[in-house]
Amino acid sequence: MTAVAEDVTYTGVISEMNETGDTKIRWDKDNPDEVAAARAAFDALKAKKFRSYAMNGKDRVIIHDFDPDAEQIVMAPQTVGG
Amino acid sequence: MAITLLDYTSAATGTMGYATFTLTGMTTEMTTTTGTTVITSYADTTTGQLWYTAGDKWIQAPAYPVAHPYVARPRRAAPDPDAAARQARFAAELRERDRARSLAAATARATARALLEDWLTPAQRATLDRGHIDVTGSAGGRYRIRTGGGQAGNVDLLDARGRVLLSYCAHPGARVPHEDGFLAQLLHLETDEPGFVAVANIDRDYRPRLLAAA
Repeated sequence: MTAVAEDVTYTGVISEMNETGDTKIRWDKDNPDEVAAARAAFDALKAKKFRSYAMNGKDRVIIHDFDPDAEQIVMAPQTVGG
Repeated sequence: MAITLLDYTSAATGTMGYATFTLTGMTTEMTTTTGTTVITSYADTTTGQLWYTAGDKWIQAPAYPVAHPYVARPRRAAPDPDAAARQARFAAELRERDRARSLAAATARATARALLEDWLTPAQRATLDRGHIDVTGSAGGRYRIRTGGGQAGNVDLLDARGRVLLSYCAHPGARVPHEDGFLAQLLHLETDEPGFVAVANIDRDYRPRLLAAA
């Protein structure tokens, strides 16, 4: 009998800023269900006017749509004047 | 018919108190705060006004049949033998709640700090421990995000020589740890400096510094 180790892989992560620090939503771009779940989470936060940023190599860019190829996405609550 | 009176003066002792008496005819037994005595009462059948004697005084009772507004004095609650134990339990619960809240806040800040460091450049990470992050805005402005305190009024606009011209106050509109707030400020400035400036409030003391820098 061959033992198969469970290998959980992911290619991207959304960090949703909140009171706990952040909540991570991970996905594997080759897994359609995970991509769909991450996209739904992204869209839900955008509906709440969260700002979304992606890290592409060294560059930090603003994004407006979910990118399944992104490695890291940060979603921050809307900025308000203090 | 029972009537309660306030400001009854005992003919026997002269003390004030309140009394309840029951009309049984011309002679009435009256129970007072100082004991029991026999009084004589008189009812005016025309007006319904009730009078009674206490010793040698005639006292006017409340008009019959209007109920007297005064009520018996509230009784003092009996001492609760479990009160001390209950208070101790409540204090312990409060302490535990505070401890859990502090732990959650510390965990949240550590999580946010890790995310912040993940997104900083090596140069920015190096200055974080010194209490600030330097940022170049998308429109070319130079900013310093002070990280030693909170997220309010902590974004300084610098001139070419690194002097503070004014301070901006803008941060996430939801409750997040400060480190999340610093990262949100940095990302907003780097990707949409005009938008950040448009939404931010400006430190009221900036004008003197602008003039001094000129």
